Order: sequence, then C-alpha cells, then structure tokens
Amino acid sequence: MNATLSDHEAMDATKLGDAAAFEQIVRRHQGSLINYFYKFTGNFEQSRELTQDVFLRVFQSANRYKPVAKFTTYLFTIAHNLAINEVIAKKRNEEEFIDDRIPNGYFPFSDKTPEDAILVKEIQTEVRHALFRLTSRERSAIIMKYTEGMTYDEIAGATGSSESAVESLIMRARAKLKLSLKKTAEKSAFSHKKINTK
Amino acid sequence: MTPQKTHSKAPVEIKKAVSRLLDSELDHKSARELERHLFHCLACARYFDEETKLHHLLRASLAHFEVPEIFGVEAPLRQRTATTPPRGFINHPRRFWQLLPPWPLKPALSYAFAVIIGLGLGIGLGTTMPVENNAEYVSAFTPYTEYIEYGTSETLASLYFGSTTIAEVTTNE
Repeated sequence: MNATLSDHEAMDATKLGDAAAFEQIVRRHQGSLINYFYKFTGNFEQSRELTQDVFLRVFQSANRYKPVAKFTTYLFTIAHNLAINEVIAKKRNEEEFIDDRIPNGYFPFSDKTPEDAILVKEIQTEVRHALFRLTSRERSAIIMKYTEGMTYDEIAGATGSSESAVESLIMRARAKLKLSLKKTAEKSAFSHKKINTK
Repeated sequence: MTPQKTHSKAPVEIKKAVSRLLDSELDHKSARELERHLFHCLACARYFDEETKLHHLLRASLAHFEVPEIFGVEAPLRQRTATTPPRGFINHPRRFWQLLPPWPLKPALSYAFAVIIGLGLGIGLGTTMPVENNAEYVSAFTPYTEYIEYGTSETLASLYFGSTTIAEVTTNE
C-alpha cells in the first residue's frame, strides 16, 4: 500500500501502472467532481458517470500528463469540457435537469429541523433554477467559485480563458442571478443563519 | 474611487471592486479604498449590501456537500480502468497505412497505390484466358455485349445478371 502521495507524485506512479496511486487521486477528488457535476447537471447519477469519465480520461492520458499547473486545474479543465459537451449534446430543458430523487441524507442541510429543511430546500431549488438560466460557461464558473472556492486564476486555467474574462463572466452571472433571485435573497435574509452551515 | 455623496447607480469600477472583494481577489490597498468609499456613498453601500446578501445566499446554497462513500466512483472506475489501460501501456500493432509518410505525401501515395492496384487488376482481368476442353477464348472485358457463338455448342459455364445471361463459356464443336 502506498503512503499518501501528492497529486503529482500519484500521477507519476500512475504512469508506471500503479493502480493504488490512481485510487488515491480518485478518493481525494471524486467529491469535488461529483459536487461540480451535480450542480451543473442537476442529476446525481449523471454526475457520477461524468466523474468516472473525467478519471478515465486522466488515467488514459497519464503518460502525457505534465505537472505545469495545479492538479485540480487540470482535473477541472477536463470536467469543464465534459460538462459543456454534455450540454451541447443534450439540449435538455431546464426542468429535466432538476433531480429531486436525491435522498435527504445527501442533502447538505439535512441536519436541520423539518421546517427549516423545507425552507432551505425551497431556497435551494430557486437557486438551482436560477443557475440553469445562466449560460453553461457562466454556470460552470459560478459553481467552481462557490462550490470549490477556486480563484479567478484557477478558473481561468480550467476554462481556458483569461483572468479578466473570468472576472467579467462571474460578474455577469451574478447580475443575472441577482435578478432571478431578488425575492429569494430577501426570503433567505432572515434564514441566512439557518442555511449558512459552513 | 472618488467619494461621492449619492448617485443612483454604482459605477462600474465600484461594481468590479465589490465583486473582487466578495471573491477575495481584491488586494489590501484597494479593499481599504473601497471601504472608505462605501462609508461615504449611500448608493454604493446599498449595492454592496445587495451583493453581499446574494453572495451569502449562493455560498450557502452551492456549498460543497460530502458524498457518502457508498456513492463513490472507485468501484465502477476500477472495472473501467481494468478494461481500458492507459494508452501508453499498449503496444498497438502498426497498420500498413501508419507506416506511410505523413501528410501531404500520405494521400498522394495512397492514391498512387490505389491506381497501381486498379491498373494491375484491370490488366489481369482484361487478359484473355484459355478455357479448358477446347473452349472458346472469352474476354472478361466484354461479357455484357458479346460472346461468341459457333453453331451448336455445349455450355460449360454461364454468367447471369438477374435472369439475363450476360456471358457463356461454351465448347466449340
């Protein structure tokens, strides 16, 4: 069994055919990718499949991998491209993206009282609906920013654009979300403490 | 960022600065400047409040959630990686066209190769072939329009297109 390796070390080991090293990478980053894809597609099963696709690509191209940037940037570059391709391939409407089959246990705020949980879920649904009104590039950037806490520089690396373009993209996306969520923001103002679990 | 008492709309620079501040991308000096400006400007302060509210809402709603182990992708991925090893690990046998020189010679050579094969095949088929048992010489290039008939004969072989006979090889009596 390998000791804990850094991402770059694990990739080097994967190049040499070390399956355990690759599993370390998967274990470390699968949560982030599932989160990203789930928020992007709204479908939990699909997000798991897309996450697998990302790792499969990483594994297959391990020999060509060069540690020029942060590993997460590399990972999210693949994820972003897959997500955009997914949207292009399946021009599904907004409603189809929303998947309420996700059990309560996996809902981020499930530890709240039932009343709070209902309110929180309502707010979340509105946010998700608003999110799907954005373009796929805007949505991707917002998720990277808010879910993964990535910097403009990292988002620029993953999306293949400049830092200033990312800044404008996020600003534009926030302006659109502000319009869509005007009422929600007011409603959530009093429940802010409730939903802000982090 | 000049301090202003009031204005209906926050200027673009302030909007950008607020956005950068919320995203923790604003340097310390600019953050202090913005703070000073917001202290004096009511419209910008209101804009900042709205943006902060939205920022908190998004941060809470899009927060990272822990994926239970049971939903991890390790197990299905293990199966998939077992069947598709990294590309570099496979020693692919090279096909003959992969040995050809790259573009623009490849298509030209492929074309030339096809022409040579075609010609060779044409010449081969075009040659008159002797048929055993005193049979007539039949040209493979002219089976559709003519075949040689010499009085009474015995058919050795026929070539049909649908129900139409297009060629026959016969013995010469």
